[in-house]
Amino acid sequence: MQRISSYEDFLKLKNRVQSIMASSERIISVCGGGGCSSKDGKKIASALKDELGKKGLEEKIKVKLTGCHGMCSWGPSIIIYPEEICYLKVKEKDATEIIEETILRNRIVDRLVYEDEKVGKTPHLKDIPFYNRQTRLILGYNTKIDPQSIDDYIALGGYSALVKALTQMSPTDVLEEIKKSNLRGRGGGGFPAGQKWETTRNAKSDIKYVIVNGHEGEPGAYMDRAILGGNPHIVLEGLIIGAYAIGARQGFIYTRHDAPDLLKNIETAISKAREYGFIGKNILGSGFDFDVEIHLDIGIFVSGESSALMRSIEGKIPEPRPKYIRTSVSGIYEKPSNLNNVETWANVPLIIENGAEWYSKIGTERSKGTKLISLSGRIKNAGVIEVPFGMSLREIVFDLGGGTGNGNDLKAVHFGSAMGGSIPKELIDTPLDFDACAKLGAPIGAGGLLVLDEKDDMLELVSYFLDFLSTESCGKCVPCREGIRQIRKLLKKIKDGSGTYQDVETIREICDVQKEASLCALGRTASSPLESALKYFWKEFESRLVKEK
Amino acid sequence: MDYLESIIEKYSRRRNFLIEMLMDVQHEKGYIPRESIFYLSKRLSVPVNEVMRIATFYKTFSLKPKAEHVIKVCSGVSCYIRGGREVVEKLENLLGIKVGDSTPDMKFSLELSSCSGRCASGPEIEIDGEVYGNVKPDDIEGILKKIG
Amino acid sequence: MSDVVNITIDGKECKAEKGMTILQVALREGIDIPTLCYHKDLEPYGGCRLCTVEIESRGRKNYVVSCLYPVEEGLVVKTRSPEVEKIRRIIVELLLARAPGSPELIKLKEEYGAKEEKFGKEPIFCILCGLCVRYCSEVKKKYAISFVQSGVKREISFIPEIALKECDKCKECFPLCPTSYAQALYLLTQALSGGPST
Ligand SMILES: Cc1cc2nc3c(=O)[nH]c(=O)nc-3n(C[C@H](O)[C@H](O)[C@H](O)COP(=O)(O)O)c2cc1C
Ligand code: SF4
Ligand code: FES
Repeated sequence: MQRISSYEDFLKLKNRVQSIMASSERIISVCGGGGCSSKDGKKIASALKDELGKKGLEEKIKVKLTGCHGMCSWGPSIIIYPEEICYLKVKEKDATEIIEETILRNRIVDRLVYEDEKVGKTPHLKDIPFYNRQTRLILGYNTKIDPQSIDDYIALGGYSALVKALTQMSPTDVLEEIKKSNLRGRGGGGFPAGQKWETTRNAKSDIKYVIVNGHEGEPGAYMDRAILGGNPHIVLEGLIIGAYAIGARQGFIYTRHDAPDLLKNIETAISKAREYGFIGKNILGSGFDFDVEIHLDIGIFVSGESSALMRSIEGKIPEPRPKYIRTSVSGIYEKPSNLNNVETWANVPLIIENGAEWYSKIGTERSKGTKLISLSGRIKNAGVIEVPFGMSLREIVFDLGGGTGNGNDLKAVHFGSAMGGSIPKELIDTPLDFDACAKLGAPIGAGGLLVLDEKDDMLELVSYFLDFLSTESCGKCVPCREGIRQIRKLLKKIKDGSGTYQDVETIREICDVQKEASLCALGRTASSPLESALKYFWKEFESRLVKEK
Repeated sequence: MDYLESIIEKYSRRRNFLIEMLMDVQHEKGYIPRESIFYLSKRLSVPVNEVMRIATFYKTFSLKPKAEHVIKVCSGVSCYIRGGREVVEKLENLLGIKVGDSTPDMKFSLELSSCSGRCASGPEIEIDGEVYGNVKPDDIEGILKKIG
Repeated sequence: MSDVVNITIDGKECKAEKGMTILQVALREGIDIPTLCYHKDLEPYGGCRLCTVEIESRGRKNYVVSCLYPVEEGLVVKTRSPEVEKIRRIIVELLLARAPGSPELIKLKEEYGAKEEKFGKEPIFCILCGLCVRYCSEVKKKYAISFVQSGVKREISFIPEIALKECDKCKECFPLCPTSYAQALYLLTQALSGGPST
């Protein structure tokens, strides 16, 4: 591979990889994502390759093992381009039939096709409601590229934004564009990314850092993995652009320790980007230097909190620090450090490539762009989707998600996991929007949407989250640690039928203190699911309390 | 201590990879031997109590050797409401141990793991790297028999 | 000089140097703020949250721990308010469940009107203020005690390999402990390891 050191070099490269991609008559994309157990994907891909080999078609028809396609509960899925024929729940032994029927005879294999009561049997992506209501600006790459191939990404327009930023824009131009786009952080808080970048950019220091938060510790959230595993380059590209705007020369990717394929894809992405000179010294001849290092989370929820995450990048215990000085001013090694979520970074190339004006046409007044959501719990089409902000939760759950899928009525949807809250079915027409959801006590968090049906017990759910936090917090501060300990005991008492109204009052008191006096956001929001359940599902508590005379 | 030296070298003796080094130790030995804590402390000039604290902080790490087969149950919320709790109970009953322990014959260890992101096919258990999706309590005896 | 900032604590105007914490200024001015994990020779820790005070900045009320919050020009601090008292009362009640009978907690219990057995008793004795661990590390540099585990399972533990060599001649952390758990745990560590090994 040659180093790319100018705009012209890049155009030549892009033309070359595009013509290579266009030389295949068809591409069979096989989902190897983590959502439907990637091993099957690998087997299916090699079975398809074998079949093609036998027929002498391996030059004309390419098989790609890709990242998560999104429709996890129907996985493994394959998509045949250019027709966009989608086969679901594919098995290794289906390979022969797929090649003989679809590839050789242009016939659909009926039994592998999506079907529901409304649309009947539909082989094409464009007719499947799960797909055709999405706006897959980020996820769209997943079905088309081999995550290990930088050329695939470049052929589809990847790294053009980086080249544009470094050859045509100044760092402040980039910053202004991000500010203008109103991009808000996707990791939970919805904090304006441009504003955070500016703080780090303006902080006085020669050394600055940029970091990708790919910890994804929220149970039920798996969209960051879908991006990083399916197209690590889009995140890397965003990170390099951000580093350029902020003035950082060192970046870190903090990601999961328990997903070897994901890690391998990130490592490969970094080394390929280095070979082309998108990472390293004097990137694209701009004089800008940048390097990236990977760190692993080892699996405790609290380490996703910004100050804890930064400690663990230093090799120290991931305990949060009180944030009287923001990490954007004093983070890793006390240097200004800008942390953003995987999905936040993935939005950056889109904004730079297409402009803030284009971007801010998508979404609602104050929540711009798209959001990735992972659907789990009582839902027919569990998986990862990408929809514009503003879509109603009803549309997400029923039209894309296919409803509960088990014959039971919807009860509520729960956002934000252990730091979030539930939205009862009466409010299901609420739009997907940072502020609208937060106002109802169910901040969208990282985007894990848990669907509950009428048989689900809110006390059980709330207890689950507190049990989770009891082992996944650091245990340093009293309100969080001892508060969780006592609330769990009181909840158990209520579940056992011996709780009193006074116990509920005591719980509320502890919640207040946790919110006001805990050290980090984990403790300060630990009571969130519980308070949300008390608000919307009080009957489930009351019916278990000892009746007072 | 050769394995420790090669782990330390893999990260160029850089202290900020201490957590990753401990993970490699856990990987290599199946647990974190006490001596390795002292060794890393000395070689990286990190106080012993800091290494100890990290080595006990994560559920992924264990100071005790693990059994021949490690059973991990996904502790994610979706698995839980779809019957994961019953799966854990069944495993505890069948093995006669609690989560976090190993059977006396050191055949099975039982653990919870972080949400695997395979919510679409939960409840899920993973044994020696093999993933079993949509597990029901009644399937477990069969799965264990197959393992040994 | 610009290194001096003016702040108000409970209506009293105080001058402070930049870099000081609210607690340091309060201590100097003789204003009482209760603490459990603070020690003048140690890095502030911010774990017990008992020293929480109310501050007002840009018209917004906020609760911060005074042992860590750095003073800034014009800062207005209230060391007592109904909400602050409630926070402290509940912290004391929560800790009393772990360490019933701790003289320091009993004093605080009286001051803040806490109930002794609001949360029953679950005697663990250690309140995890970390004074012993931090004193041993920061002042004595012996690293003989460690925090272990996380979340509600967090505890302290002597590292026998070091403790049996060092602690007998030091024992300076024992009087720092608000519950005398440090001493008890040390004796237990000794007993389990077959006595001191000098
Ligand atoms: C306990 C806790 C866990 C968190 N876990 C994550 C996580 O797994 N991924 C993430 O992006 N943000 C997580 N956050 C939020 C981060 O602290 C931080 O706000 C975020 O990464 C900033 O990125 P954004 O502005 O792009 O959203 C967590 C916060 C807390 C308090
Ligand atoms: S709030 Fe909880 S997680 Fe955060 S510092 Fe306190 S104990 Fe640790
Ligand atoms: S004294 Fe300030 S938090 Fe303990």
